[in-house]
Order: sequence, then C-alpha cells, then structure tokens
Amino acid sequence: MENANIDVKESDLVTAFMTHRAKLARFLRLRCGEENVDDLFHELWLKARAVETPIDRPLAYLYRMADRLVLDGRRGAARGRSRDRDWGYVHDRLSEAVEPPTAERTLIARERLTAADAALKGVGERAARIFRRYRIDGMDQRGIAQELGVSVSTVEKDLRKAYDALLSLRERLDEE
Amino acid sequence: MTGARATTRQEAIDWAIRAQDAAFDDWEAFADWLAADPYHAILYDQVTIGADEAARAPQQDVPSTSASSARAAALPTVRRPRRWLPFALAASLVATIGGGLALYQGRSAPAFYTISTAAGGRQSVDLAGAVRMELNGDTRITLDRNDPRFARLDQGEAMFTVVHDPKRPFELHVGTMLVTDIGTVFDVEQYDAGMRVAVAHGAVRVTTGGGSVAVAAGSAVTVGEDGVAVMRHDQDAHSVGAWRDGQIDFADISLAQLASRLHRASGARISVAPEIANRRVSGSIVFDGDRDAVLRGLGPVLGVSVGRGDEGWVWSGRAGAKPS
Repeated sequence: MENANIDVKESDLVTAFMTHRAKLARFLRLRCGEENVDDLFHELWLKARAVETPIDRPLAYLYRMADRLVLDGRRGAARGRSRDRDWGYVHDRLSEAVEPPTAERTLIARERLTAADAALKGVGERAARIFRRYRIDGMDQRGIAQELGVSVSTVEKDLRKAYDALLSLRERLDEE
Repeated sequence: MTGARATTRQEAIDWAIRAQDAAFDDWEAFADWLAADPYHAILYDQVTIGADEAARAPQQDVPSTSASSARAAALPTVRRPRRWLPFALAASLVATIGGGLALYQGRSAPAFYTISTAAGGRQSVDLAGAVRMELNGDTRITLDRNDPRFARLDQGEAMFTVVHDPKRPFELHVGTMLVTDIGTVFDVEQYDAGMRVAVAHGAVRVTTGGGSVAVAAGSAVTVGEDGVAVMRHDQDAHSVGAWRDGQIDFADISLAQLASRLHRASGARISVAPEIANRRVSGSIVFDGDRDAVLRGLGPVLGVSVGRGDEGWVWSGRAGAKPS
C-alpha cells in the first residue's frame, strides 16, 4: 500500500484563501456573474494550492490571480467559441485545452488583434510605446518616465489616452 | 455622451490602469466600485479586453525589447489543460473551505434531523430518490429536511449511491471535512477524528484543511486524526461497502480500528489491550451465521489472544493470555 502524504502543511496562500474566501468570491461574482463564479473560485483554489514559493502579500496575489482568471475566461469568449454544447462552462474550457482553435476562431482572433493594434497606433508612437512598456513589459510608471525622460504625469496621461482608445474600439465593435 | 457616463468611463480606465500595476493593493475599493453599478463591470471588461488584445497583437515596426515582442507576437494558443477531472464541480468544493460558506442563494434555513442505528443494525435511507444511504451499525447521520443534497456523518459508516446533479452536487460532511459526489457510489467511515473514503464507482472530491484530492473508483483515502494528512491507497471497487454483505475487508488498519468496525457491523463489544491497539492488520472477516464463532476464531487470523471479559471480548498480546 502506498502512502502518499498530500498537502500536509498549508501555505500562506492557502491560509489567505481560506480566510478571505468571501471577499474573493464577491470579487469574482462582481466581475463575471453568478453563473461562472463557482468554476472560477475552484480554479483559483487549485492555483493557490499549487504555489510553492512564499508570497509577500497573499491576498493581493490572490486578487490578481482572480483578475487574470477572469481575463482568461473573457479571452475565450472573445474568440467566438461555440456555446452550443450540452456540457457546461467547465467542459467548454477543458475541451478548449485539448483542441486547437478552429480556423474560423483564429481568424476572428487575428482580426481583433489587428484592430486593437491599429487603435493603439492611432494614439501616437510615444503613447503606444508607454502602453507596451506598462502593459506588456510590466514596468512601473516611474520607471517608464525615467526611461523616456518624461514626467510621471505624462506617462499617466499617455496611458489614459491609450486605454481610452482601446475602450472606444471595443465599444464600437461590441455595438455591431 | 452624458457627463455621468464619461465619468464612469474614466473611472473604468483609471481602475484598469491602476490594477495593472504589480504593487496595486486596493482591491477592496475596486470591488466596491464594481458593486456600485452593474455597468461598471461591463465597462471594466471592455477596457481590459481591449488592452489585452492590444498587448497581444503582433507588431513589427514599434521597437520594443525582444522578450516583449516575443510575447506580443504570440497568438492565442492552446491553453494548458486544467488539473481537475472533467467532472469536478466547484460549487461543492467552495462550500468546503472552512466548513460552510453557503453558496446557494435562497437556500432555506436548515431543518436538521438525525438517524441512528444500534451496533449490529442496518438502515437504508432514500433522499428525494436521488441519494441512497445504507447505514452500518453504530452509525449516526444528520440530514436536512430542506435540503436533500446534504448529509453529515456524525459517527459510524455509510454507503452512498448518488444520482448526479451538476447544479446541486451531494455534500457529505464529516467534521470539517467534505466529500462531494460526481455521480458516484462511495463508502465513508468515520473513526476517531479521521475518516476513510472508498469509491466503488465514479469519483468524489475530498477536502480537508490541508487541501483537496480527487478519489476515483478503485481508490480510497484515509484522513488522519489531524484532519489534514491524506493517505491514498488502492481498494478494489467490489470490496467497497462489502459490510452490507457481512464482509469486513481491511488493509493496514489498527486493531483498535478493526475492533470498532466489528462492533459496528455485529454489535459485539471488543476491548483491545493498549500495547497491541496500534498494531496494523490486513485481512477479511465474513460474518455468516454464528457471530460468536467468527469472533472466537479471530485469534490466529489477527495474531492476538481472544478472551472474554465482563463487557464482551478482549484482545490481548499472545503471551500469557487466557483463551475463552
């Protein structure tokens, strides 16, 4: 008989998850509605359990993980995936993991990305660069300001400009 | 665009920018903003999706670090497969954490009632036609008249046959531990501060303070006295719930635990000498007809001396024990 000792000691993240589960559930519910909160909460739990390194601010980390999970889910929706299955949400996402996107889905995805890129170009080179530094490279606003030799408030304004343009694009497209 | 809507748009953008920062720590205030108006969440989604797509768009002419262009060039790809079973259900799992976050809105207040069996007795309980429980002897189970998908095993052992309902998974509570069904036939035994779950068909998810494991047919898990440590072992699916046929199968359990199982199944009282109580034994005992004859004959099987005391049977170490 094998003895597999599983999860004997709780990590900080697991403790924080249990302590603040109501808040995290509330956050997920506000972001994505009653239907999906259970699945996402479960995923968040699994992810929290899988983290082995110590975390400085566990609750903030959990919120961020939750935020990313919601975005992941939204990405899936934006790809125009078919909803006509009998299986629920969980199965859709699982089967996405084993099937590559269909050609049509890839096309839709590409179009959206191209449109987003165009909108970003529209705000000017500096704002586009600042956006990418911030959003892709994860640099903080002060660091970006230093790198480009501008003030932090310029960085802030450019970021707003970029995000605003991208929001406008989504508002336009979602209305079609 | 009205002034109010313009303000809300700006708020959504500000929150999106702030939340992007690695050091962002104002999540509760953010949640409060989301709660203030359902439209806020919609707007916020739009901003973040928009930003996400721009971040992922492949772009050739804007200079950036090689790492970021590699990331930006990556089109949506096959996502990593999830770690859970295809039929794991989050709803029941959530309810387990800390024991009792009520997820279902509009659940009415519980109306608990308890069913008990005497040692050696049996009872079957059907709940709303969707859960069948077979209670072993010396067992106590608490149910809720207002919720046929809830049960709490206070003591003893029971076999569950559950018709799966994805919207309302069956939850079996054992102390602070939880077993949830996924269309299953499984057996749960509670002893001391621990429990054992063996699955005959389908799978269950067992959640304790230490984490959560899935247990599929052909497996069993034992949760220790600390309520946290989990040990997984094989158990032939056919032997799960064999007590219903008067058969007690055991693998690597203590004599004390075996004594309690035999008591449950037969009503016989057995006291075990402390110095051998933790000895591990494996085997199979079948009660067919003469209970006492079976119990008397256990000595050689278990490597103990079987004697009679004032209150029933006594098991002790072989040297110096009096046979009955």
